[in-house]
Amino acid sequence: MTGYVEGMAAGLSVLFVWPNILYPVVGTLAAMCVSFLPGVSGVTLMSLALPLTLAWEPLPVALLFGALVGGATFMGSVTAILFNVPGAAPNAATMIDGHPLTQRGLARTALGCAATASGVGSCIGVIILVAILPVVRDLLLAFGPPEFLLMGLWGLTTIILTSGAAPLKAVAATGLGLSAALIGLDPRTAEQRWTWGADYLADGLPVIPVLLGLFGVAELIKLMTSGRSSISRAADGPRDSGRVVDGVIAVLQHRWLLLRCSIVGVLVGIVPGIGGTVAGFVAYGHAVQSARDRSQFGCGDIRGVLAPEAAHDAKDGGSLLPALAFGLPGSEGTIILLAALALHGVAPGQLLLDEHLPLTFALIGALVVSNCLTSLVGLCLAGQLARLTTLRLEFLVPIILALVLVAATIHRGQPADLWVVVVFGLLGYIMQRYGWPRIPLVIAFVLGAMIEDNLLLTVRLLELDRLELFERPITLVIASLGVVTFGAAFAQHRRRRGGTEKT
Amino acid sequence: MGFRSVSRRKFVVRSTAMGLLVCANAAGASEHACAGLVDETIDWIVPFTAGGGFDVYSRLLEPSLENQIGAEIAVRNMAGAGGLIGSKAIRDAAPEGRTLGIVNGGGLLIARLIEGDSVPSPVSDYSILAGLARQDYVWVVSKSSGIARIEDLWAADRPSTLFGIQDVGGLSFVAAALGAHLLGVDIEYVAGYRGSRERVLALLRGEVDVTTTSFETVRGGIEAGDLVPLLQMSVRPISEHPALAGVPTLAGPDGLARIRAAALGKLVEIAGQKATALAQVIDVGAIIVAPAGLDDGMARCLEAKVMAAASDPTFVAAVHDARRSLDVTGGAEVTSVLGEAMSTAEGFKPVLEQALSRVRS
Repeated sequence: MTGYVEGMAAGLSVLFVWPNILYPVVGTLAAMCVSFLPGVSGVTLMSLALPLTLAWEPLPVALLFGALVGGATFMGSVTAILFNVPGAAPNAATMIDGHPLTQRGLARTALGCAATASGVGSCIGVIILVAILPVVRDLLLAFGPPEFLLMGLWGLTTIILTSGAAPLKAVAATGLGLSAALIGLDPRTAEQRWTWGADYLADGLPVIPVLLGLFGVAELIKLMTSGRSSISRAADGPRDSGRVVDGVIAVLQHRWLLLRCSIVGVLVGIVPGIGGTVAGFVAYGHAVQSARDRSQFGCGDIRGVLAPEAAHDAKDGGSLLPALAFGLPGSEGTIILLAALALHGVAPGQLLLDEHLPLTFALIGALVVSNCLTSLVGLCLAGQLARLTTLRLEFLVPIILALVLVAATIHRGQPADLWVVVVFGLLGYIMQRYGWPRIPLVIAFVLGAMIEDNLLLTVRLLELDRLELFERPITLVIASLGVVTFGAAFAQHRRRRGGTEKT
Repeated sequence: MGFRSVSRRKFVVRSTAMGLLVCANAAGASEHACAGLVDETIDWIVPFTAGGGFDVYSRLLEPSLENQIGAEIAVRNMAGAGGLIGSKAIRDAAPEGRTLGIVNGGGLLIARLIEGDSVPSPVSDYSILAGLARQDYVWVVSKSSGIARIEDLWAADRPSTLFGIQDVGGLSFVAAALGAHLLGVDIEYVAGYRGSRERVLALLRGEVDVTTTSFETVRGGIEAGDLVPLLQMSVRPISEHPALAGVPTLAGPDGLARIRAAALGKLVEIAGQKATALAQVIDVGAIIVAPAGLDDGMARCLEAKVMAAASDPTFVAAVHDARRSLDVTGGAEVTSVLGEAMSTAEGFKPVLEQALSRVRS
């Protein structure tokens, strides 16, 4: 433990000296500018920066890429909140309540809450990361297919909680989402499912174009047909967009929720390859499940912004865990981070923790600096950004539509993604028009692959007697959480039905 | 040729010398054939995501190649369908020298074996300019598994060995199925682990007994003492790394396939040929290609330029620092090896089909 303290001190001491501090600051500001464009994230910047930094020393590389992993994820939430267009897949959960807040004229409040939750969540995530660093290997090995399966199922239970008064429609939408998640190659047998022989669908439907269509395009169609003059109901100036400080105060008021969601983010971030999208939705579901009054969720409940923002920024700390301990990237950003480190002769794994501890902590420090700086700048800009929602729709809609279409193709460079945006855009509009919930579809779609993969593995390992479910404490804990969540939802439904019958 | 236990200086010297030797052989290539590419933009397609191994090689090679050809190299990631989307994009591009790329030669060959003609042929659908890096596959187990040597897998009292794979159709499946067939090991598959590192974690958690993956992926785990290599899926030792001392190779004159065939009363020569073909298929990793139909002069010129770039000491040193393997081979040699491997690999189909039906049942 003494070694870790010394390593931390050494790492932080090299971070906060001139000119080293320039790297995370410049990286953060660059990532913020880039991440504001939907579909373009800090990851894009990282892949561009990779060849440019070949001649650098390992320390500046770690500082720059550590800041880029932080990735200014908050900026993607800005477009999610203001325009219902997620900047990146992890920002999708923020849209659920973020955009309704904007429509109610509380854009500044929503942005203030998102910026604050994002910064505080990432700090909590890093604190947890540092605290469990000595035992990270044991922790990672404790998570296997049963745990990942139950985590995904727990996330699915949030659908029940957000189904409101239309549970059957939510079930149908869930089925549609799970079906959409099945498109592609069978993870076990590699047989093609519903691909019609198209290579494009071999990896399944792409997440970002689906989200951009389902929410972004659908919202644009709705706006164009609504007769409104602007996105915000209050079209008369910044005072009517709420107050940034109200958003900050909301984070303080719900500090325990913030803490719990940050923990959720770290835990999900630990799971290699899962990433912030799942973290956001699982945290959102927890926020709904733990709330006494759930009536405003989906209509502009500030907790619905706080929860996913805290989770997917805390996730950055969690995703560093498998990356540093095992060389297992927990997100797209950490894939490139590992590549950048390897290019400079710094291999991930236990050796990184043993031989490059100061560098490790400098990297973690850069991540914290990045997230805090993003939040600070975000708070300062929230007022100005909120003004965008008061612009007249005839100017705003074409710009947003163009950004959405560019974002759809820029991610994978495949023109066919545009068709996905269009198809899901029409589907999203029709669902919205006829009162069908889209959130269950999205949650099921995002979690579907994770659930299927780990269900197949769990069943197979049980067949081969390689698992004893009742001897796995984490399995039992997550299963209990799922049962509690389901029980709470069932009780809520019965109360609602009882109230309806009485009237 | 590996670098892992070789000093940086030796690695750079050896790699550069080998590359220059091949370049010298291609010295007859006409410079004029490539003159039309000067100041042009060449699309370099990487069929995998940014940050992956093939992307790293491409970005490291980019500056050297730009110097050699005098053109701008625009690296484009076109991931999807296990590399097929990008590989087909290279195949379908006009053969004018303005589209090049890097593909997984062995991976394409295996995919074609299992899925048929819908997969591009690495031999007939491309002009192979150079081989860049081998895929050095090993079988590994967890240190806590109780398995210390490959011979433990066919011990009389041992139940079926659980083999962790990604999915059928991938290299991990083929290396497992054919390797087990040649060695007479009874295995059960546990499929569905997405990625080699997930399979390694499965090993450490005790879910599976063995998995196969590239040595680079597990090198850290081996050095940390968590993993033990059992078998090298190659004709000769893949590296001078001390952890591989005493670990047998599958193929070669002293390969385990021959020894086991003799012990099991099977035809030793046939087993040896199959093992060699399998090792050659797995061996061919990253190859630099252009679309088939390239003009001969242009092909020779590009091959010389690519070889010179891949032999550039700056590139070689960068690859070493990135802890990646490098084995620069001329395009003609790679084409010959792949062609030979393809014809022998046809004999793998019955074994693979049997293994496929076991997984899919």
